[in-house]
Amino acid sequence: MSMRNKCAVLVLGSVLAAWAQQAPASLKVSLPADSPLALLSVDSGESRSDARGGALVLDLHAALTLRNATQRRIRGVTLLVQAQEFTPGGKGSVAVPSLDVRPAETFPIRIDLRLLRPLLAGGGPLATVSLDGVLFDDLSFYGPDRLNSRRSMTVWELEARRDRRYFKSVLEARGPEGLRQEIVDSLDRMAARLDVQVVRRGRATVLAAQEREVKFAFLPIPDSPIEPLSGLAQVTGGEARAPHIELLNRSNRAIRYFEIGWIIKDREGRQFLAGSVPASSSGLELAPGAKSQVSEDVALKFSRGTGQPVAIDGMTGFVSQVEFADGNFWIPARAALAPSPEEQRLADLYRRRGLPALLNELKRFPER
Amino acid sequence: MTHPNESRLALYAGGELSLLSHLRIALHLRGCPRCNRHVEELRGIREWMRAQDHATPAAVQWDSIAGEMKANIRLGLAAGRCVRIPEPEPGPPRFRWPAPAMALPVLLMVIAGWIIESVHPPLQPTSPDFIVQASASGIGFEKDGRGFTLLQPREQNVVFSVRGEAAAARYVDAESGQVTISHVYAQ
Repeated sequence: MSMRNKCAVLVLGSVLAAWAQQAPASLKVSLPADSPLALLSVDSGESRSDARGGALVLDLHAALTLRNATQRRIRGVTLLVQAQEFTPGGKGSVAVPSLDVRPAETFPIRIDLRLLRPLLAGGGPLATVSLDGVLFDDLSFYGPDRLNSRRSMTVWELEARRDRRYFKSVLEARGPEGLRQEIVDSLDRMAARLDVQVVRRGRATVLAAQEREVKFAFLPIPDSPIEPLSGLAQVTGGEARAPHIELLNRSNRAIRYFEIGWIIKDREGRQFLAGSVPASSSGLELAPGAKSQVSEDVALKFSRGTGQPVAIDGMTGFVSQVEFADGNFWIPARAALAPSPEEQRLADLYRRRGLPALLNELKRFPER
Repeated sequence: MTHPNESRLALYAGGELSLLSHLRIALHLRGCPRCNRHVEELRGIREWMRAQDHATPAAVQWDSIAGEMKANIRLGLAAGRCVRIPEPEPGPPRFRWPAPAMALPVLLMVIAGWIIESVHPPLQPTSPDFIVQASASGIGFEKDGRGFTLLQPREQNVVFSVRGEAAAARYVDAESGQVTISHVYAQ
């Protein structure tokens, strides 16, 4: 290689490296003209991008300041963050439930995501932020809802109201010390969680001959619109595969979506919330009184934080949410199930600022 | 009685044999009138040829031709030794049962494999379409052996979860006190 070519390569490499590590990354926030939110400022100063092979890795650390431009209280916001649309890793979202934003009040939303996009994807911003949905205190919704954020935020809001009511009832019945004990129990429950790996359309690594069928036990929830009739999964070691559940719609309304929570028990008798598996496909229409079967071609592999697999000894399922065809929702009564986002928020408030702050926060909301 | 062949008798008549061969044939000739008579005939022919030496053309030197022919014969013999296919050197005695000797290890391997498989079935790695992971180290995806990890939020108490084709990290932002749920999507 001649000296001239060497110099050209060095210059080109320097330019590419400088371009690939530009900071901050170019972030465009795009809100519709009739948006209930007004954008006041964007701070993306901590964002950066790095070239890795043929891809650009975007580490987005941005803070948006938004204002409620409506006359209703906002309970939740979901933002769609896209570096590219079709490739895995190119799309993310940030949802903020459990809000209580009054009209004209400003509030921040932080974005901490890592996304991918092709290195040579043309001009324009590296990532765009758009509004996927806003949920108001009357459970009305605004937004394109590309991420089904209406369903998610409505369930979170219903769970938040349920949990605040529960904590208020504990406070009334057992006093501040009873509430404190309840929150401490909640923190313990949240600490007992597992790492989970989900393998779609296959299984991770299985000792085929040691695989065994394990039946689900179902938590009895009397007012559940769905009654699980039976269920089983193929289990080996810390991996459960191909869950199959039969269920009955015992309500008088058609159901278009539901989820089954999954609790696993290890050989020492400890129970862990394994997660929530969406057990219905889009287009489901389960008529009143109708039975249905749900199968997922999925394998869930559980391990503790140390990487040690959990030996699955038993599994418990419970109906964690139901969406009716008329757009209404059902969630189970609070019975030591999965901690909701609101429970996590209140427990964190107690952990950081103590019982007085928790009591003041519960008084802010009108649920009785 | 075994008689020497004609070529050896001819060599004897010409004085071309080694001393030992010459003595052997001389001993035979003392008791074998037939071979003795044949040798005398060969000597007669040889004498006649010598007598004709002066009758050959001057350009033909018999001694020269004979020497050249002997040299060619020696050259041919030397060339033959050079291109001779060596005979195999005697080695250790060959085993008479090569096929059973080769089959025995194969048979042992098959039996050992059957025993191992019946006790510990082999791992069956598969090629899943993609993997969604949620752990204390972050959330992310893996597809065709290539992984992508979502940056772990700065907060300590993060609840990671997987639902469908999305993985989520849920945490309480220390500055705002808000619950923030970040998702990344496999599709």
